[in-house]
Amino acid sequence: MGIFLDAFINVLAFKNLAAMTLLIPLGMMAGALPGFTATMAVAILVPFTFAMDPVMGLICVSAVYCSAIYGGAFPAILINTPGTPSSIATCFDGYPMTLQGRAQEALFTIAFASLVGGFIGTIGLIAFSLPLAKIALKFGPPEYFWVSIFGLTIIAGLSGDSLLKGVAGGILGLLISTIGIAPVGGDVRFTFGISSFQGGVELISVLIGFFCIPEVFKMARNPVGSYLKNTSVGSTVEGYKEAIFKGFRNAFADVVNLIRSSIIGLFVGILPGAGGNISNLIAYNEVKRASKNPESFGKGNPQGIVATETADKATIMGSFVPLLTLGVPGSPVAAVVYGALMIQGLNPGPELFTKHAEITYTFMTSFFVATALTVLIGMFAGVLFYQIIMRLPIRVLVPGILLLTIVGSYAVRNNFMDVIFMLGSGYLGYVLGKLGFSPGPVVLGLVLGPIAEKGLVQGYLMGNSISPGMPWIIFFTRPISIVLIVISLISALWPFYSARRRRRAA
Amino acid sequence: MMLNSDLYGGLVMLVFAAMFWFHIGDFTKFGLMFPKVIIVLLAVTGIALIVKSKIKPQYVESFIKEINKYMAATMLWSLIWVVSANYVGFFVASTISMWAIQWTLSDERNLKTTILSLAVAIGSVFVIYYVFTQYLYIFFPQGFLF
Repeated sequence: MGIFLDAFINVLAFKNLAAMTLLIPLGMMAGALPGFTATMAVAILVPFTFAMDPVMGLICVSAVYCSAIYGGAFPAILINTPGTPSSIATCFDGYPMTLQGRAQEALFTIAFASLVGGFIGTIGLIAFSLPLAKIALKFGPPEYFWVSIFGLTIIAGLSGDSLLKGVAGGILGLLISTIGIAPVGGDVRFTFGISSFQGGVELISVLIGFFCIPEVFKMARNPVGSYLKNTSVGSTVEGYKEAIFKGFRNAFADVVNLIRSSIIGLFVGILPGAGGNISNLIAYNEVKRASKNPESFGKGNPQGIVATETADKATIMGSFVPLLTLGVPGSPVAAVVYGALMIQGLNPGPELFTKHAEITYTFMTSFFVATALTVLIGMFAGVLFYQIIMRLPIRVLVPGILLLTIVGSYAVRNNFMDVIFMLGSGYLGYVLGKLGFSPGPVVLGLVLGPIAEKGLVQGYLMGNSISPGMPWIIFFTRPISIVLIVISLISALWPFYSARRRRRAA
Repeated sequence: MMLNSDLYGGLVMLVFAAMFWFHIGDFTKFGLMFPKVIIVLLAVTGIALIVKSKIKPQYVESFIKEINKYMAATMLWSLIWVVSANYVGFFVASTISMWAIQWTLSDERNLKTTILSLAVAIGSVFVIYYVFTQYLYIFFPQGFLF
């Protein structure tokens, strides 16, 4: 207990609080810029931490990481563009809330939800690091394959009106994910003569293309007036105080949703290779599945954004579990922090909990303070962002957003082909949207494709070495695989069961 | 005009499946294993959508009608912006395109709004350009102009 008290005192030192307060708005700006990911924000920060003492450096990392993920929700809610992949599903209900004149309510809802997600994630990181890391290590290629299949079963929840179109969209996303170098074998595939495609398709470009570009085009259709006037036609735009109250009520209206989403976020974060881009979609699907009114999702149900934002905040802490306990960087940010720890002379792994326990627990505890400060600053930043976006005339907003999308998709790899692909995805997203295809399943396929393929091929190779002649048997015999198969089956069949139950009740 | 969205959706999926199928090269067994299954699945869902379009079609309003002159101009300028940036440079392409889109979407076009639009375009692009090149070391395409 004494070590936690010392850790808290360390974090609350004036210089640390000042550094966090300074960095959080910058992290939020980075997260809010589509294409500028949390990884990039942390990577830019890390060289500056070399000159700091390890405690302060790590505290700065936690502040920037938390705030960048938080900032990603602003454009998701206001302009239907996920600032980071962790906010994909926040668009589904956040943007409809904006269209209903409830943008501020949505911004305050995510603030309270993030607070809970961040706190539960930090408690999980401190209390259950070691056992959770041991479970994560038991996941081999067959388990990852089944995790991705489970992920794909949530397509039904993202499909909109037509399940068949959702499935087709998901498969299209999986196919696009195969562009580039094969994860096993090294084949250069489906580049269509474009050398830039050898590195694969950049998820951020497709995200911006599918979610943001169609909205920008629709915005341009009626260019007279401001965004506020055009988006909230027929709705009453609520005031600041009312929005805080509603945000609080939304976040705590369904405590089960808060806890479930946090646990999903924490667990997905622990799995190396998985992250906020997956956890927010799974949490969204689970809240929709558990709801008595699933058809209200996608139309501005606040529980949708509560689930996604709670989950992606808990994922932040989860992603540090394998790094700190085992020395395995399970996410891009964890990999950057791995380097930072090494340069500070701290070897990631069990040594962190013995030789450098004080620093490690201070880092873990800093997530409490980083979360609280992020939420506090985020409330003001969100409203400021809202004021700027909503008051701007459409004729300025449209080219302004286009400029940010171009810069955002270029900045990821310094490759202008990504920008062209982003715009192409935008045109395709617009046409597919009009034909009744939701962008959610396409993006889900794109996120899960590499995990599924790697799991499938590596699992096959494992199976072939263990039982030649029956390589596929490995996918069905390992205990965790069996659990995942059962969960996937339940998840896939649930929409049919649920529809049947509703028909009977009617 | 109403469009049979299942039919057109199914055709789009088949076009994608064919595009990828005909680009299957001399891949190894491991490189081909996953995409081959996915291409077949995409073709099957495309066919399923076409079959559905005959049995229980879903109709949507034609989106061509929805595209008015403002929207069409924005779509076109976005394309010009992205394609020209590699040739005339990011700064010039972005400034011209931003100004052109603002000018197109303006309800009144006079000298004042034209100068204001140009100022907004130059200012926005300059800030982004400066911050990214000077502080983040992300360099944009130069092109033959700037």
